[in-house]
Amino acid sequence: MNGEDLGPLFVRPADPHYLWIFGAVLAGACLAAAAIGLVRGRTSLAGVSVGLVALPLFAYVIGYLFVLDESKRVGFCGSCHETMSPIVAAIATDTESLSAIHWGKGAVDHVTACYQCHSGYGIWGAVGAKRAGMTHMLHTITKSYEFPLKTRGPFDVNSCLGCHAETEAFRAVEDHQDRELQGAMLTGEIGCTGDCHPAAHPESALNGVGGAGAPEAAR
Amino acid sequence: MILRLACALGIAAQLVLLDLLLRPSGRSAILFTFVGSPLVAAAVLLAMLWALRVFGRNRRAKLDRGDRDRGAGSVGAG
Repeated sequence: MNGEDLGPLFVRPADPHYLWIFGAVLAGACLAAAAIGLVRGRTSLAGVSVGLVALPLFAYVIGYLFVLDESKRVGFCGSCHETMSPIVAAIATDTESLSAIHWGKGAVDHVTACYQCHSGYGIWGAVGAKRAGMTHMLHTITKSYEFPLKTRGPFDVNSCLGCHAETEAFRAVEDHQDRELQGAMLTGEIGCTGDCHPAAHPESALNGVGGAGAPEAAR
Repeated sequence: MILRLACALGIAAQLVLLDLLLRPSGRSAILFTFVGSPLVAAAVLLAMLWALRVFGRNRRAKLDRGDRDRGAGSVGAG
């Protein structure tokens, strides 16, 4: 159920960020400077230095900062309709997959859930996530996604351990204390999902919008 | 001509940026990264080229004027 239907207590506190307004103002100033130059066909050296070099570059730096932050949002991941939208839709509608369980329990932030699990741990995890995002873009442009979607290599178990390793419940599980199993997990030989825990996403959501069993919300 | 081209490319680049800022999505991020960024780079390079040419022309004009003034001065002294 939508939080807004339950009352103001269940509405997420507003978290506005104003970077886009700053970027839009800069872009507007650049547009004005470029339009004047285009119409008049001449301008001063200072006008070119500021209006056509410094401001546009600064506006694009703001744009990159904006997209770095914005691309963490679940809605942004789901906006690539063909590939990701069934997965994002399944997070809220499925009940058995690991991602849906985390979503339902509120164990992941509902704004940045995808990024939280897929970014890996620490600063290099964030760098890796951005690099992966670039390859996602290239796959989208070249239409080279292969269905069903698969992760490249083993899932970074440190993403799970970042939250779970220090909880009492996780430590109390006998299997988690098995040194051999721990070694296999840390080397990426085996992951959390499969034999022990359910798959991260339902198989039906991994075939794109047109795939069999894709959630209705994604179509 | 170079300045007008730089301005046109700059306008296109800023429109792509505005699209990203106002409607952030995978599509607008792809446009921003793979279309907008090359556009703004080309616009900035052309603007710098125009500025260098104008700067060079102004410098040459100043040198010529200096030569003329010196020439006029030496004629007057003779």
